[in-house]
Amino acid sequence: MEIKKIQEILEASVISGEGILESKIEHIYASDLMSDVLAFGKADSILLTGLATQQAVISAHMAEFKGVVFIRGKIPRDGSKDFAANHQLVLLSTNFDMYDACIKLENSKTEKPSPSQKLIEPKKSEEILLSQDFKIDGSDFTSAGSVSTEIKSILKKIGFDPKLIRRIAISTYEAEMNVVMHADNATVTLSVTPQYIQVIFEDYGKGIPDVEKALQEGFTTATDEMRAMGFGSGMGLPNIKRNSDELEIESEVGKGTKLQIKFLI
Amino acid sequence: MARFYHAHRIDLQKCDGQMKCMRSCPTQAIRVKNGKAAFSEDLCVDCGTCLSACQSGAMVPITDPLEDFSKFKYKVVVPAAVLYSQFDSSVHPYIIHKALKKLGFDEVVDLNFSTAVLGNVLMKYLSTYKGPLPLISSHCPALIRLIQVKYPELIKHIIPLDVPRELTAREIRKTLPKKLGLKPEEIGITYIASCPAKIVSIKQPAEKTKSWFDGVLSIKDVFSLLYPHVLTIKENFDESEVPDDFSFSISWARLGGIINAVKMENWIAVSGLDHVMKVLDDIENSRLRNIEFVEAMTCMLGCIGGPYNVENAYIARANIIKQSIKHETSIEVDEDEISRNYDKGYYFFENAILPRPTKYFDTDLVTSIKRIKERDRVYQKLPKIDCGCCGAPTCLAFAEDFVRGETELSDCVILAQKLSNS
Repeated sequence: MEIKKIQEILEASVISGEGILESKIEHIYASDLMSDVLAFGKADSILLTGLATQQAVISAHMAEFKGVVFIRGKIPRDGSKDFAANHQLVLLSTNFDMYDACIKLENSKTEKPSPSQKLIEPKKSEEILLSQDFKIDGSDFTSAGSVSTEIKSILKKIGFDPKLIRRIAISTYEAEMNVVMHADNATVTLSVTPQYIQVIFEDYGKGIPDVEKALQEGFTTATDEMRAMGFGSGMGLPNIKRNSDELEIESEVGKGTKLQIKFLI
Repeated sequence: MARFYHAHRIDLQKCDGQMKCMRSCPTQAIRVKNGKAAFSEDLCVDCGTCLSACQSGAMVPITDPLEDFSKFKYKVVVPAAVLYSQFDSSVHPYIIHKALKKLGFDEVVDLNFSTAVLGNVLMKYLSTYKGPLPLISSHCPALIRLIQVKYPELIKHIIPLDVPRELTAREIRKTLPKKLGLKPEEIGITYIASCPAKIVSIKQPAEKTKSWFDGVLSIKDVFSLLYPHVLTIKENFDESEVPDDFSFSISWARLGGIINAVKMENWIAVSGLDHVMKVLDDIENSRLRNIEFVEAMTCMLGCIGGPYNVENAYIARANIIKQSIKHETSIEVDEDEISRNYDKGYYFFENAILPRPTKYFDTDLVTSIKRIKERDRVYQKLPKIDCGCCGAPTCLAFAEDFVRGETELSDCVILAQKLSNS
């Protein structure tokens, strides 16, 4: 929605940013508590607030907002105007109070279900509660294990069953070691849904010629040096299979391997 | 919420908010608000790091006053083996026995007999053990608590055998009343501990309903009273007055001592909390599968690094080595009796150790994940220099406190400065 549209709905006067009223916003955030704005406000929003101080304007800027609407006809002090002008922020002032302003904006949304529909998040992404990426470098034995330890600490913080976390820790550690030993680098994606936890290891490297064989216990292509360090006992993939609920392996020789490991909650 | 007993408290009069405790705490249990420290009872594992870190004397150990034991008709003291390491090897251990009696104790019982018995028991246990490896030693109560709080899945790796101090007190309780013709409750048994964790393990044991001890003192408490007596006794001491049945052994007080006793092949001995946590992380990832036994002590160098010791841990270590050479005696145990007791389950933990996992966000799964995401978003806005000025040990801990509603963003001095200057 264009900020201009918001200005019309709220019958607001423009304090600053006359020239940039056409810029578009994605969300509306209403709050008088600036810590909440910083913590929970999303980028490209407009802020509705009764706090007519420079702090509100600075907070909006730090949260990457595009503008601020002051309610009940409030006008922030002079410094705010300069700050807004220097940082490409629109400042508006409306005579409505917070509740009425919010209602007005909400009603305008249902009346004309046009681009403003973006305000509602698409249903699909609600499924994935958490998604986080990590990187692993091949041959980096010094930090080997750090990604699985990080994943483990995230899951512990969330409060999953320790037994489940242990299985995930073992599987991700094995997969991480496989990357360190055999691949050039990899991206790891952790995703959590209400039903399962999935970890995908996608590496660039030599690939696995015979996946069936690699899944046999004791089969290894690790070098003697690696084995001397206690790795590569040929238990990696079998261990992942044993500890996970679903394991899918796609591999192309000379390109890389994609491991999708799933754990049911 | 006093669910968990802790053997230290913060004297708010003395606390001057230097944050040394907060920065040193391995479980990030301490926050400093308005210049005063406070710790989370759930997160504290009684490692005692804060007691060593505090320069202001605000971390106060809670021990029993010596006078408390006067109510008993017969007073027995069981000193931690580490007590001997606080004296150099020119002090014969028997001198320390005599000095302890000067403090009003009727009898001094060392851990050495129980240690020998448990060494034997441990070998028996290991020879038939089929469960997950590596096994983790049960001697350090701070380690047990660390596992309960942060590594609950590793509880099953802990060797479920009782420790020498408890076995010693149990034996005293069993045999002494009959020998002296006294009622069991007329005999008071006191332990002298080198760390707060052992005090907690006696006040609120993780593995049994009630400890076999009646009370506990710290080495620090005892040392200043003991030392003058040791000096006087030493002046006129003649080794010929040591009774023939006096036995002495101190090897388990040293890191690696247990391993030495059980003659394991694939073992590691680790000490110091951050090293111990690294090893526990590795065990959780199944990285140490070739290791059978882990002797882990949360204090650096083992119990001689405990915060209630008075001697420098490295000197104490040298003392142990010299004392072992000079004074150690061999101890005979009755293997048949041990076998019989073992089969009856005598040496095992009374109760199973229960997990104590931390609930960071006491909510359902979906809300917890939301909180984690909020935490990460807030963290991105923080300076990430872990200055600690906000009263939380790291920026990440601060972000976590914030989403739990325990702090304001303006408590971050750098963010606050940015907000007022930009």
